[in-house]
Order: sequence, then C-alpha cells, then structure tokens
Amino acid sequence: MSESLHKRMKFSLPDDVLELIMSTFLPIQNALRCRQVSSRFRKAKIRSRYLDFSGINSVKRSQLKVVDIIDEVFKNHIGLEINQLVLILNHIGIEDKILMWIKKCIDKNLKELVLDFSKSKKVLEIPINFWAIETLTVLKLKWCKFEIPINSLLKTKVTKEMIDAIFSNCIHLEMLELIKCSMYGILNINAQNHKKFKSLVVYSMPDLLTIDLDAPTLECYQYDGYVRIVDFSRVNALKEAKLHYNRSYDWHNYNPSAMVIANMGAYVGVHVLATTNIFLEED
Amino acid sequence: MSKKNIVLKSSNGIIFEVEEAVALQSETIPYMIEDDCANDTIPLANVTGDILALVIEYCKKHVVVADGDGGGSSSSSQEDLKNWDAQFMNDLDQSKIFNLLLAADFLNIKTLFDLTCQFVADTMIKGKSVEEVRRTLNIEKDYTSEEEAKARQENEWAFK
Repeated sequence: MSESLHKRMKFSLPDDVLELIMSTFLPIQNALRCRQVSSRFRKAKIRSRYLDFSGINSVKRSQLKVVDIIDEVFKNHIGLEINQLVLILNHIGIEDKILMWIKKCIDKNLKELVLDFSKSKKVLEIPINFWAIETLTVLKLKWCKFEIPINSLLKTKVTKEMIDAIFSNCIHLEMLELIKCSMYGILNINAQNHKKFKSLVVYSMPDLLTIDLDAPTLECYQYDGYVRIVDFSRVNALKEAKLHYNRSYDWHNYNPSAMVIANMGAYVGVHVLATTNIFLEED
Repeated sequence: MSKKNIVLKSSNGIIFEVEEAVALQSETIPYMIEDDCANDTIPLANVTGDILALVIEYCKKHVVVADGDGGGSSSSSQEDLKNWDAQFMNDLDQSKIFNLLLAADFLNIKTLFDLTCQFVADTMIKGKSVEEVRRTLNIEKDYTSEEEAKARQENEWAFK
C-alpha cells in the first residue's frame, strides 16, 4: 500500500459524513463554496445552521438578485436547525419575504438574529414577538421597529437581565413602555450609551420599589402607580413628566411625602408636568 | 442504593465498566441491551479502546449536568462545560477526531456528534480555500476544469 493511500484511508471520513459536515456546520456561504471541493458534493443539500448573508454585499448586486439568492437558500433548506440569521440589505418592497425568512428561522431553533436595514434608510416594522422565542440569545436590530408586547408578559417575571438585554442590543431604541409587567425591586435603565432613547413609560407595576435611570437623553417620563423613588441624577434632558400617583393603603415602610419631595429636583427643568392631586397634597 | 453498571467491550477487546446513566447517553446502547446483551457485555465492534475511552470521558463529564438539570448538585455550569468541550477537542489529533466523530455517529450520541462535526467544520474547513480543504480532508480533486468552473458559477455569490 502506498504511503499516500495509507494516509488517505487512515485520515478520511466517509463522503456522507463529509457532506453532512459541510452542508450543516458551516456558514451558508462557506457551505456553498464546498460544493466545489469534489463532484460528489456538487449537489450537496442545504442544511446550514448559520445563514449569514452579510457577505452578499461584498460586491454590488441588485436587490432582485440578492432576494433571489436568499430565497433560493430558504427554498432548498432541509436542515432541522437554523441557529443564526444575518440580513443586511435594503428591505423596501420585500418586507413580506423578510418576515417569511425570519419566521422560518424561528421555527428552526433560531438563536441569533441580526437585522440591519440601514441601507434603505427606512425603518422596518417587524410584527414578531421576540420575547416568545425561547431559543433566542442574540438580537441585534438596526433600523427596525418592533413592539414589546408587554401584555404577554403579564404572567412572566420581567428580569433585570431582560431589560439590560433590550438596552445593550437595541442601541437605537427610542421608547420603552412597561405596562403591567411583573417586576420586583429595582428597575435599572442602563441607556448611558444611547443617543436616541427619549421616552420611558412605567404603568401599573406595583412591585417596583425604585427606578434607577441612567439615561442622559431621556426626554419624557410617564409613570402611573404608587409613589416610588426615582433616581434622575443621570438624566440630563428631561422635558416632560406625566405622573399619575395612586394612594397606597399599605403604610408600612411607605412615606410618599418624602419620596415626592426627593424626586422633585428632577422636575425643575421640565416644560410639561402633568400630575395628580396626590402630588400637590404631598408637596 | 448502588447504581447499575454496564460493561462495554471495544473492538480490540478492552473492557470498560460504566454507570448506566453514562452509557445511556448513547441512543444505540439501549437497543443493544434490549436485543440480547442484558446483564452481559456489550460488544462495540466499530469502536477501538482508545476511542471508547474518549467517548466515556465525554459522557461522564456530560452526565453530571444532565442529572442536575442545571441546578442542584451539578457543579458544572453550561459555560464550564463549553470550555471543557473545547479543551477536550483541542487535545486530540486529526485521526482521533475523525474516529471519535464516527464513534459518536455509530453510538448515536447527538451532542458529541455535533461537537466533533462542528470542530471539523471550524478548524479544518471554515475560511479555507477549496484546495486547502481538499488537502486537509484528503479529498481528491475529481472535477475537470470545465466542471469546476461550472460548479463555481452555480454558486457564484458564495465566492465573492
């Protein structure tokens, strides 16, 4: 037996295993390149778990061509899992296709979703409940608009990690509404690196005790609930505050008067202050 | 209460006695037990002793987490386990990696099969030229120049 044949027999993998590795465990672009390795892989199936289409922009292509390429991949994808989807393209006119692609990935165990529509300079509204995707660990959105369906979180505990994840991943977030969420203790808004975060709404969250805002660009703060301590020391742009205070009949450890006064400093510079009579009484 | 052990015999006759929970990460072994090997040695004709030792090392490490269900007595966090997996694979040469992958396939241990396949993809194929992939995986070029050009054209966007 020649040395090269011996080496080959010793260090090879069967074709079906090689095809499976190339078609499943490589990013899609790399997987398709592997079809050129041997004629045996020329018609290799598409099972890639990593649908990173960012490389599609390395040369100038028409939007039609880009859609054809991506659509072809999705049509022929027979893998059980799609862990990653990266789309960086002009979405105008192909919104339905994009949603269809995203949904197909969600059905196949999506862990990482990266969408960047800055090419179109127009925001894409995405009617998808990202919170319901249990497998999702990375969510990066640029020029996207989506609603956080807080009502669906009524039975869910909103955690500090969830709020932190929103702010670390959605760097262009403009508004966050938390309504009737079940959240205990301290609400930390860590938006110190955000340039566009302008509005925070916190309604009917009785288990919150303190709201800590590190949001220099925050302009509008709307609150409905019991009087709570809010740390505005790192908020520089507040213009509008709507405070609807409710009375709490649990007086244990609760001194609304002191808290209202403690919060007053933040409202000195606002242009609009709407509030309830409890604010005036306590003041 | 004593735990039930299972005896595995490699293709070159080496005997391994392992706890049932360790062995049952393989979806093939239960069928072998049901078939005709209950309370007896299970022969694994496709797996040599050195590779079976690696399979068992992997299964022993992973059984703790499966048992603990992410909490309780489990001391290995998912992150620790990931690091362990990476170190485990990095210590192996190409021949062992391939044989471990084939053993994981034969024994139907999905997490080990995925781990080894991903390792081969990441370290031997990803980012490499077609020629480098052929060399690393010992695949002969069987395309004519025309066929190769056509295959490239069919997947044109993947090359640019």
